[in-house]
Amino acid sequence: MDDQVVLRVSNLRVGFATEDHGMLVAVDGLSFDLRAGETLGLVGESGCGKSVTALSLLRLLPQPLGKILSGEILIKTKDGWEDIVRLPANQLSRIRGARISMIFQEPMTALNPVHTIGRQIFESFRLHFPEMSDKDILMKSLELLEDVGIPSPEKRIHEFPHQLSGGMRQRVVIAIALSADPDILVADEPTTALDVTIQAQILDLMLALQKKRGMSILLITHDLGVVAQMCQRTLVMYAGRLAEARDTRSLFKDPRHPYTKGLLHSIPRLGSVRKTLLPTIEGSVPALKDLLRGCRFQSRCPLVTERCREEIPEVQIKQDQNLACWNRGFHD
Amino acid sequence: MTEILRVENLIKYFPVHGGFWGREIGRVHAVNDVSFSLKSSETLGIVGESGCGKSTLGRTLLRLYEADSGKVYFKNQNLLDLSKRDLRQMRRDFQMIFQDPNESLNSRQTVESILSEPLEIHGVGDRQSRKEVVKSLLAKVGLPESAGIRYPHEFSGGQRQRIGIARAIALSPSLIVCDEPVSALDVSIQSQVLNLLLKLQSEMQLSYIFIAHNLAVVRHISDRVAVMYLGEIVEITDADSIYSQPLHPYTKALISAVPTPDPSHTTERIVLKGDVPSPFDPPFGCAFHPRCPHAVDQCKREKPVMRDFNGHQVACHLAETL
Repeated sequence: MDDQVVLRVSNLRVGFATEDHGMLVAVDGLSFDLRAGETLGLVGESGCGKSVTALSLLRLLPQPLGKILSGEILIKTKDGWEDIVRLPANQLSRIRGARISMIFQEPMTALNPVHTIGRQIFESFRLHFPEMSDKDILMKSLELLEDVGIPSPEKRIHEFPHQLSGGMRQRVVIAIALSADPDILVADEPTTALDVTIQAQILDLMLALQKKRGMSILLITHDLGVVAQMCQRTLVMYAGRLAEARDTRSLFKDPRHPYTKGLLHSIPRLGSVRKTLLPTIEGSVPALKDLLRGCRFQSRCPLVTERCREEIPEVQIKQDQNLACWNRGFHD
Repeated sequence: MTEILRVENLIKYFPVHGGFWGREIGRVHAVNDVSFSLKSSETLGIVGESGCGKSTLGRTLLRLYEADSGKVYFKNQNLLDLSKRDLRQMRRDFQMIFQDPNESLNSRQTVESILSEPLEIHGVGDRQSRKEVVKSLLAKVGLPESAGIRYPHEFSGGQRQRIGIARAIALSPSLIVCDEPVSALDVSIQSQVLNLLLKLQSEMQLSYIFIAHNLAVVRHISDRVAVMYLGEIVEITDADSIYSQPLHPYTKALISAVPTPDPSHTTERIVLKGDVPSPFDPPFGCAFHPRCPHAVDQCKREKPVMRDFNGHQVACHLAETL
């Protein structure tokens, strides 16, 4: 295996048990690698399986409905590779927070409203470093809050989440996520709930922290602008499957999958001609219970053929690029 | 083109109660001395961050909130002077589209009854002709005729927004206030709804007030754009100039903060320090001065007035020098 790889997901299938429709497969046969120090974007629209993928990486799927049906999630540790999917529940705390950590869209729901900021960071340090003294934890906490750009941290640790603005709360969540110095940060729509000027601050902070700590980031977002500015490589998902995974520059310059292409063309840009009709992808994403066999994009695809309706597109691989389409290749 | 809407010095504040007796302890100036005008068949975009008062402005214009002072001339009639009864008559001529179609559509009504309700209230046609109108409304917004007998929850988010749009155009209004109409929608659905709004505008000569936080979306659909900060309009001009030659430092920062969907694009982002101050206790002088990278002493003392540079209006002491 490439020694730059820190996380390898292969053939991941995740399902949700439903009363009316049996097991619905939300992520189907997803494979990707995350390398040391890189930011990998995971993009797609609601219901494409990007958040389910993120939750699976930490085994945080809602129980008892969500289940990893098959596949592997290999993570590099100092004792070699470990498969998160097969890890016994009592071993998970060794991975969560310490090797791989997660931040969420809505910082208010990620924080406990009845405890002070200081106490919540303290808790995280206590859990991961039981031998550390209270005094050391306090010092470490202040240092960490300073790192994530919270002004006068010695005052802030006595405050409650509701006393902070949205941007400050997200900084606190990031501080907690980084307390045990993880190798991988999974960020699920970390700036979606924030205003653009605050979003810019948080994105800058994430880049600075990544540089300082050398961690890898899996950035999940629906915002193609954020992906373009943050990620070296990007993976596009559609209805639970991979559509295309490439380095971000080639993906934006020359999208190969008809879905990626449609998506990139449909966003209004600051330089486009105003008040003209935008190119669209007709129709909408199929519900998981109504999936047809074959390619999941078939009902909206301009290039659809008989084969797309019959067979799931094989994933074409060229170096570290992936493409799942019967009608398009890397060169045509 | 004729002017359809003229707003003069509109003010809307919300009282803040506190203390043991729940007395009024202050006021939040959600909309503070806002003036602008809108021509017929034009779109005015209103952008700003959360809490800047853009949604309150939209609602106050249509008297969903009662203004505290100012004038709103709609077709030369001051809406704020109208009696409840006259206002109801006028309402058929201005409508609203909301952000969340899940909350703005009654989940217990069929689509047909949602769409014919405004017609009934304003006594348009009889039962049979209303059915025909509903049919043509559905066709206009790109929904199948069979949609009429279904309920809102049976539709996707994009389709529900189409229902909301159909309801807004049912009475053939001249003005529609669109409050974040595409923010809750997926990227591929956003463009469908924007196209629909553009199509309806040219077919029905609609005027739009388009409120949104996404600058690229606002620029695309608008003829003119107003930027709001802490309840005030700080800059207003045509949609091209606001992006190519923004004059207000806040507008500049806002535009540079939008992540461009192009990895080879690497202009320097102006990252503003700090958060938007509380509208309960806005800074003295220019409301933007604590975050402004160019602020001078004058900005802390004096509130800048709106000045006009060839139709490009901006409220900044330093507009010429920056």
